[in-house]
Amino acid sequence: MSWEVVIGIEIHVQLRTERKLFCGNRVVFGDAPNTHVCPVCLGLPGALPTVNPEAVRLGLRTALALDCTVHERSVWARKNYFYPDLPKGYQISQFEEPLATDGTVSFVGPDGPRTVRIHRIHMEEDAGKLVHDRIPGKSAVDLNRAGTPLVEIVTEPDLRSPADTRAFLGALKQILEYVDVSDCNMEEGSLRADANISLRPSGSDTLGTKTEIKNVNSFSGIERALEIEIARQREVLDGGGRIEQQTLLWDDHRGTVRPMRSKEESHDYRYFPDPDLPPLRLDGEALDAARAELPELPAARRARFVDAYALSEYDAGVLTQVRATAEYFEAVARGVDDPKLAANWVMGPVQALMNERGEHPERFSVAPSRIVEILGLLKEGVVSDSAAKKVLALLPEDDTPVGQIVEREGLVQIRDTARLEAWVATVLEAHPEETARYRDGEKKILGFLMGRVMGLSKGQADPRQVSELLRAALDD
Amino acid sequence: MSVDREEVLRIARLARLRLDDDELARMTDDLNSILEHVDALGALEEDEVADDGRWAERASTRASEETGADPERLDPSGMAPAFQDGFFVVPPPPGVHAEEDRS
Amino acid sequence: MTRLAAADVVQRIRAAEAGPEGLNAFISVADDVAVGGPGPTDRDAPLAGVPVAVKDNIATLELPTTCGSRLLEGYRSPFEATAIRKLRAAGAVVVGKTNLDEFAMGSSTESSAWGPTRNPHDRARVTGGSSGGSAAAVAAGYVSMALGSETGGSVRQPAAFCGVVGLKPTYGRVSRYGLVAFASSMDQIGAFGRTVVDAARLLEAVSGHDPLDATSVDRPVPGLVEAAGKGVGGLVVGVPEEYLPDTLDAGIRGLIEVALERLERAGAELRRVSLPHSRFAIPTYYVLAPAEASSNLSRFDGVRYGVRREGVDIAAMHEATRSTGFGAEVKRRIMLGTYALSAGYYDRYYGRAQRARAHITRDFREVFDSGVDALFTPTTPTTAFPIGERIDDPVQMYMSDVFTVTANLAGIPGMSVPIGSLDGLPVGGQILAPWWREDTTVRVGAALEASLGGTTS
Repeated sequence: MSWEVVIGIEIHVQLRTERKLFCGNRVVFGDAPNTHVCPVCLGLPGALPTVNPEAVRLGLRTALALDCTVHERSVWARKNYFYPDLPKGYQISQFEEPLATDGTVSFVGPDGPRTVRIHRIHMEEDAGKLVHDRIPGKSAVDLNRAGTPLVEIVTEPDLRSPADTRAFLGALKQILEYVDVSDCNMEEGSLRADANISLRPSGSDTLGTKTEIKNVNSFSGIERALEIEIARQREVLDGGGRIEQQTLLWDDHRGTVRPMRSKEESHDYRYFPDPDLPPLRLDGEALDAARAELPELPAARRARFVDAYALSEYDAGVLTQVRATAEYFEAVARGVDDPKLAANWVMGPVQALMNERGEHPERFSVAPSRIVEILGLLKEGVVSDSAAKKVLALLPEDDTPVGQIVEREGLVQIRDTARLEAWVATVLEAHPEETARYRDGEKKILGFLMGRVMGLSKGQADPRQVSELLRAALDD
Repeated sequence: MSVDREEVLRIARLARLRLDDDELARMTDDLNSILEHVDALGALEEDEVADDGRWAERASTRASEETGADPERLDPSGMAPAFQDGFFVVPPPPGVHAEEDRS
Repeated sequence: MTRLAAADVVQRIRAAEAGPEGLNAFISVADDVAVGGPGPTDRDAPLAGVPVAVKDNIATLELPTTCGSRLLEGYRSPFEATAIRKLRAAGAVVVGKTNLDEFAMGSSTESSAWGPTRNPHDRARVTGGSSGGSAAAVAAGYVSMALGSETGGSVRQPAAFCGVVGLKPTYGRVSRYGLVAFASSMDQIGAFGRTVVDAARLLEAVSGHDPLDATSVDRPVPGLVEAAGKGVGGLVVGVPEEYLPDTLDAGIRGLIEVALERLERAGAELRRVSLPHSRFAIPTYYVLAPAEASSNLSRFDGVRYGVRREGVDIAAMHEATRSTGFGAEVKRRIMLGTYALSAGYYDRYYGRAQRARAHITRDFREVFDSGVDALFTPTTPTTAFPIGERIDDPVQMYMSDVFTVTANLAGIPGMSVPIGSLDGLPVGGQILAPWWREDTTVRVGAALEASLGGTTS
């Protein structure tokens, strides 16, 4: 039988706030354990939560970026369960009345353009960390992360394959980075995904029994975990068996999924409205303010690049993949007034240098204005293309004006016609045989002669001019 | 509505309370007599719905503009029943170390 | 009163409580050094040097905050409740932490891990609760004012049983930051005083908006002390029939009628009114308060603070800690609340109770909107009962709060003021007022105090 794969995803995104969701502690990754804790995030007797407005702003921006309906009133709710990394014995989240619902994400999947519906977005606090390998026979609790603001984004079951899912997550991550709500660093756990997955006979429109895969913290992990689970479900169903609804844990090291022990699962969270926090109210003013500060989204920017800079869809896609790259490109393009040249340089030598140096476009050690200087000289013919690339390689370690570097390194092209003609004459004289062959129609010998002239000039001659002069001399 | 022993045990597990046999019998009786009293709420006119669930909104709804004051960062080592190397120390979740031993 | 006097007060409390007639009103008493230490320089501060007793569920830095629970034996809060900060800013001196029902869950102060507090009027009887220690400390004359807390009547009911004034403000009037939560949507710090003015002074000192409590409200605090002198001329005082049932003790009914007659003579207009949904108050309260409590008390898990009992795994540790740390009444309420919120029962219990709460609230709103300025009722259906009488009968115990819980469900202010005694035991009259009108309770309370001859102790 042929099966259709149905996948829905829940993504927890750590918001990039300075402080925690319900107290004034800083959100810091990697510090010594339990050094960013206070009465509120330790759950001390008598401590109370208050909402961090910065987190609400970022949550709101997330909802707008995913084209959701933002609710004027949303309600904080307690999700009750015991775990040592959960200080209060409940997580403050949103349940019956979430921040936003009914959004969409459009992206290009393996089989072309796709739109996935967003079911809901709600805000909640993160738990701390439980470490098992620190103290023999015991577990260790670090509450620095406890209270970090998260948004949970829940999709409808609209995804159809592991590759589709991965493409969706890539698009989602790109949007979140664009609107600057999260650093989306999966290694630091700022983006975590759970997947619901089921199979149904092709053509059926009722959903099969699903399983949930938890604990996945990389895109490749999601793809692998889904592939393994799809294979397992297919085998069970092909054998006439039934899928048991269960929660599975992904083990990234072993590349396996295993069922969660029943004790790890909490069946009854006893949600109820948190009496410590009035409902969150977002009036029209708050929404307008959030809309006003919403940056251009990737799809819009891609379209604009095609439009305004006459770039190909492909180039526009590459340049807008990362927000900082797109901004870098725009800065260069504005300076040189030649978008195609700017695009080729940012995608080519500039990106290569970034990769080589392991730098992110946001913090690249060569400012776009320096690229503008180089490209200006290139367009004027002062330097050759290869000389321009040589100069670029020097820029991270050298902040001398580009013009001076070019002089100092002797990279200025020689365009003095008299000198160039002299070199051309010398070369033709020294190579009568090749000259004759050219004149007999072997036009490709021109490359050989060009090389000789460039050699004489120690590479400094303007190749375009040399080529013209050579042709002129030969065709006489 | 009344609860039986099994139900009381299920609730106790959820609440992380352990009840011995005497406590269990007593708790079952107590909960049943309280619930019997509480079931008087069933007489409430069902159709006459006031602003249920929105009670607390009388209080401040300005939370979104408010921030908690400066953090009172504190060193929790002194108050913890068990603390080592900067961590709160607890017994492991069921099976965690047992599994490591197997692997 | 001077700071030296505060040190004297501490000495006197120690001596009195150490003797055979001790009331067990305090869980901890400040040491002389803390009391006599450097104090506020401002001698004109509203409570300069005034000794105040504080219920042991309000976080203080110098003294432990145990909530009357074994689980928090010796627990020292690293931060101070906002109300305590305000108290200190007003110049008051915290002389000790008072006994209470464990985590404020009870109506008799018998469920404290440190034993019951005795009623100064009859040591074989309860003080009421849960703020029994604070009520007894004022009634015994140790202090002239004390802080308590209310969730369902825990200030007004013991004030009535002990013959002192108890004032519970509007929900949101006093910050809950540092008050160990029982039922967050109803919890509120309240004030005990020997007189109406004492209670008013104390409440005024701790009132006001606090950015650390999202449910605290930013509204001006009315001058409560000055309200005491305004009289009741022109006030409409409603008498809700549901609070004077046929079954009410005849002696209490008689004292209520005397008090009403005095109010009328002082210029108040009396009006019969009805609060029909008040009959749902006890079942509503005993769903909502335990539901919130079951969640609020989840933090007591032995991980970060408090007394831990070890177990082989985390669940066993949690269970051992909570089972030995909590007393019977706390466990009962955690169980009840967990049940009321659990899958399949939420609508039947929590949902219905929320609806009932809205009805009860609307009853009050309609009565107050009809021109009634205050309501007058008995505070309790009986006088102080003997220690041990109701401890094994939770439903009977819960009925002690039948007249007080509606104010907590609706969030309105209420006061209990002594109106006489029966067989040597004090009787309290309850004044309820619209939201934010604590000043009206003070006006009515002061008028009764003046016409009935003050406290009964």
